[in-house]
Amino acid sequence: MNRYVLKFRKEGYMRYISHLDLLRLFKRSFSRIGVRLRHSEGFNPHPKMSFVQPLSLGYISKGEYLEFETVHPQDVASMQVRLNAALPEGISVVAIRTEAGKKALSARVACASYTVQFLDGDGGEAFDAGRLCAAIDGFLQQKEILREKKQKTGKFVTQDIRPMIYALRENSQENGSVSLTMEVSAGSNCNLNPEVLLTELFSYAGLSYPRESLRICRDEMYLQPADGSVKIPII
Amino acid sequence: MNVNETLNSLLLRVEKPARYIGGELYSVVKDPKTTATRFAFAFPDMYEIGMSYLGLQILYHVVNREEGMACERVFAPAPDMEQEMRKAGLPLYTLENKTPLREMDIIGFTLQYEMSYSNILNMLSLSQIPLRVKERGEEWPLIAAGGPCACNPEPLADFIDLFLLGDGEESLPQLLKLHGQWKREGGMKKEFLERAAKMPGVYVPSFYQPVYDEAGALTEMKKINSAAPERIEKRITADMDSDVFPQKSIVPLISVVHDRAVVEIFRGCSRGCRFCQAGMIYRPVRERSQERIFEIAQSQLCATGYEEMSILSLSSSDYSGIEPLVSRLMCLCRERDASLSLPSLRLDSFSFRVMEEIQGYKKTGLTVAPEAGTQRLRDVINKNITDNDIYSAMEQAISLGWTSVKLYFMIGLPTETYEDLDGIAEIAANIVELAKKANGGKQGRFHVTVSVSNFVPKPHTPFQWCAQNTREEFEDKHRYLKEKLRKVKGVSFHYHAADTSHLEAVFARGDRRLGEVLARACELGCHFDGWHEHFRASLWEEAFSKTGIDGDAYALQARDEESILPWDMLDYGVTKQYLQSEWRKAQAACVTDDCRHGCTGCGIKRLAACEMEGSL
Repeated sequence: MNRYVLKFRKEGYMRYISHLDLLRLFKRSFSRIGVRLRHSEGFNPHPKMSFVQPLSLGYISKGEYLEFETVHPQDVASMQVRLNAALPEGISVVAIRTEAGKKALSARVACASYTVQFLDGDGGEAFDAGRLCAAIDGFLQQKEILREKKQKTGKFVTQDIRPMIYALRENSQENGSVSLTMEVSAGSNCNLNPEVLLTELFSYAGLSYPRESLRICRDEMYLQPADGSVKIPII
Repeated sequence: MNVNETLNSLLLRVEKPARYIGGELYSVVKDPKTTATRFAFAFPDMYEIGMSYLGLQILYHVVNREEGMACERVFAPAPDMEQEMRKAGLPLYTLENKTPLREMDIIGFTLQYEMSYSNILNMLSLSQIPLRVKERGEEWPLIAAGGPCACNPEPLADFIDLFLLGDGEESLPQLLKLHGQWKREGGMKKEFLERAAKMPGVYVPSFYQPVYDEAGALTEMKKINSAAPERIEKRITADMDSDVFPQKSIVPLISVVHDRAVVEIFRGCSRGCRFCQAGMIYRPVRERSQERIFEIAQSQLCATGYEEMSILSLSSSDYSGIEPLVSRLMCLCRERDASLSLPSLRLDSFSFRVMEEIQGYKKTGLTVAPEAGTQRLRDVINKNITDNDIYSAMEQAISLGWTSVKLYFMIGLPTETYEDLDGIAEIAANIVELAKKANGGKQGRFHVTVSVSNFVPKPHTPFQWCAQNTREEFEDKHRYLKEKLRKVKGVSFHYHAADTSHLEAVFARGDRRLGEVLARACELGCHFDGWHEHFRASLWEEAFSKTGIDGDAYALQARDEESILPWDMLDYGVTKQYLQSEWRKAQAACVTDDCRHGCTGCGIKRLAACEMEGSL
């Protein structure tokens, strides 16, 4: 079994390409560098390749992960160099390692960190940044943060997102604009969309949510070991 | 205004933002500061359509490999993006450098179908560039156009500085080179146009003045600039084996209509179907060698990583070495886990063998284009296919397990009667019967789709003189066929809207007076007329009535063979005499043989060598 996991960045205009576009891009890039992916069996074989966690259209990322299996064993260092030469600007592979664990990473990922920047000026909506930052402590001290979540069936259920927030803080910025860092649940079992957190935070602070002026970057994804004590980045 | 910043603020509000970002593999970004001539290839439809067009990839390649010139791309933004751009005041820009179009040197529109004309004007308007040639002073870019519809450029003559006729892979780089020289010397626009007009294949409409008689008939295209030639010959790329074909074509980031590697195997067609404009204007037949095709296919698949490859031509089975070629391509694709797609194959035993091999159990739909319902009408249009051909192909298909067949027909062809429509229904019913017979009397899942398009008479074809059916006649025929086919179980019926076909006919054979209508239609908000969800017939009606121009006449009036046609001075190789003789033969239901059996005297040999003449 030649299983690998690859860490890549998605930046610049590439943040506007969708999950499916990105899958096709990697599939073709592997083909260009002559790496044959292993295919599933059956009537409609598809390559064994998947993203650990989908990224919303419009987000940039410094820590995306792709798991894949190849027909032949590969030298990871050389594969990284060749892939980077075959990928368009804005998508770059930062590391590849072999993956021994049996369970798919998408089932083992537990947490993701994000940085949120608020743009002012062109396209940005002005808001009281001081008031937002002052609200963070109080927001986190709440025992529960309830919200109405629409299910696939169309019904609404009440969900408490407080346990899904591991960290939330403001970053000091040299140019005076605000940015936040957060660590939240991620993965197929329990996942918190950063925009859900932000909506709740703005509402707690009594501010209207400036959806158009956000720039969100996923910084890293973490696995949680069995004891739950430390977060470790996938790579 | 910074295009990048504004773009980032609005891209998340629109559908499929990746249409507007560029950055695809093998797109070429040249430094504007060191590029003498910056050309924008403008496709007047959406990204997904334009990126499926091979001509774009060819021209992009032949320009960008030259020094001192750059080809960038621009497509028509979808209505949602257009709205955002207008709101933000963002002008239309090129994907490569995000340069506003008005800052480019030349913008070149490709004219693939008449229904995209309103998009051309709308794209100029979105670029904040004045629409008309006479409103654009020295500070504005030159607007060029080329492609099949340039064979009657007159409806666009008010808006376009120059047209390139015929194959563009040699003429476009020449034109851009000429522009670079002129720019260095610092001349006026008019001087550039005069120099360009001396280049073969260049038509500068402002150098000619149409003259009409009192009844409004065209009497002369009067030359009003001495630099302009009397007649303009289309350009012909003679050598298909040269290096003009791209091996590293741009690989789109989003899925487009034809998302695959493609090799053109030959250009032109020798069959001489009388309704077919492509068959007339792309003569002579020029084949690419098998070696070269294979080489291109191989390097394209390696360079792009595509999972599908296709060959391209007007009639693939006519390639002189089609069987060995297809075998080699099948091998190549198998080695690379890619699928092979073979459009426009004639349904003979070879094709079935190949399809069995490449499709296996996955049988996609099978398509046949008899075009007309009776042998008589097929003789009129010179579509060389018999009832026997159709039925024996269907029998084979059924025995090999195909369960879905698509039939293409045209209605409104010259001399058509309701008997010919009955013929369409009969063919469909007979095919269903064949399937039942093969299946022990049961129909099972077997299904026939009858797809009918409305005949549009096109310039440079033997039918350029004939009248189109009225919209009412088309609609009556649609109803008639719908009723007939409703009675046949397992047949579904599709047809095209009559008002679009009508408008297509108006612009296909229109003259310079239609410029007013186009400008008015653009002002009224017409765009994407080829998309039924965006086409608004009422706005077009308003544009015609407000300008006082009778659109119907262009489509519905038969032309006198002696009359002067707006495109008479454009020489596409096939002579007017030949078209006339074909028109007369059509009316007598006489066929003309494929010219691979011997020259039929179309006239193309005046312009180029005809290598396939008498090759069968």
